[in-house]
Amino acid sequence: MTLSRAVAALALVATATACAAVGKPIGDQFDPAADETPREVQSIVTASTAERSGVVLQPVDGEIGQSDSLTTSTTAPGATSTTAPSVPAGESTTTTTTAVETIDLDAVFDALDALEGMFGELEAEVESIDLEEGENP
Amino acid sequence: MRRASTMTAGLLAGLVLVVALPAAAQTQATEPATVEAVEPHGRHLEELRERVIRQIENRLDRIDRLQARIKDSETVEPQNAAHLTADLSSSQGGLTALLAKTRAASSIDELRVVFESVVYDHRIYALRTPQTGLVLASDFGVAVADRLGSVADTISEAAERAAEAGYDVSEVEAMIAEAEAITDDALAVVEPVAETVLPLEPADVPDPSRAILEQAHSDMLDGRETYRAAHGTLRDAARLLADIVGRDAA
Repeated sequence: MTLSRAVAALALVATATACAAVGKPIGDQFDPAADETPREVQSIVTASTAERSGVVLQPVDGEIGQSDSLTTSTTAPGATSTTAPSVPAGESTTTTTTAVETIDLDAVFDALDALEGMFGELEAEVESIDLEEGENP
Repeated sequence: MRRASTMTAGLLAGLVLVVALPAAAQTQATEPATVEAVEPHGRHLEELRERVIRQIENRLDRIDRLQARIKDSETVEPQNAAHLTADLSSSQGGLTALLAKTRAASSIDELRVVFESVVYDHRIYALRTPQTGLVLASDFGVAVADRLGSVADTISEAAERAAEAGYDVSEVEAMIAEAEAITDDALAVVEPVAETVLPLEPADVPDPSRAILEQAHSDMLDGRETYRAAHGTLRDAARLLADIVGRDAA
């Protein structure tokens, strides 16, 4: 009994000392609303979480014209991805990608074909000019 | 061939005056002395009158067709259309007045004066027809250059996206630049044609009109071929881009 009280008293003194050191009243040190985690740390934590989840980004080979050049695949943590290398554990990576918007090459070729039609019209226009007609057609 | 048959028919009809005048105009001769040399002694006034009327009506028909072509054109520059239309309308009015004079003529001499005016004052076939055609072709050629530029931009944007996705499109970009340069070359030849031929007037026939019209026509032919080269280069660029990104080229 005496020993328990002594331990409790020591704990109270230690807490009071710690609170005094940071300038907070006793009872505020575990405020769940407080968020003093720096943003840098948050991003690292987030990246680390992504690594652990096995989410990797990979380019879509040759699929220009799709709405996005990237696909997301998920592998179990520790499992080997067969489609792209995952980020090695313990390393952080910054992946900068540009989404490839729709490129409609069919429309390009259609426009080129339409130009053929314009050339036909231009040809007809030029060839209709008869400089030899004179004034006696 | 067409010229020969027309002349033969005219000669067979014995309408020396009416046939000789267009023939003289056709060879671009401008000396009224030619008219004096073919005075149609003893020919019937009414036959000649009908021939002159037909010649005027044919020219009015031609003017109508030219006006319709200008109106139907989707690419003619408004100021060029206005210039051509004004010239043709002026001739339309002049020829209509000559039609009235022809109907009222009481002598062959009067008909001769009228017919000289029909040919030499208006030059519907030797000038207005090719002039209109060249202006319309020139403006259409400018529109072709615009379209080529638009297609080049589209391919260029596609190449940029492919580059962003990691593909090497430097060769495609070089081909697009080449096509744009070729298009510019063609435009530099085609675009001035309209402003070169527009100021020509009947008094400029045959000189300097003939040489200017021939040069303009030659420029249009050259421009057409150069546009084709630009088009071919763009198509090659599009095919190469399709190959690079793994699409089937059209």
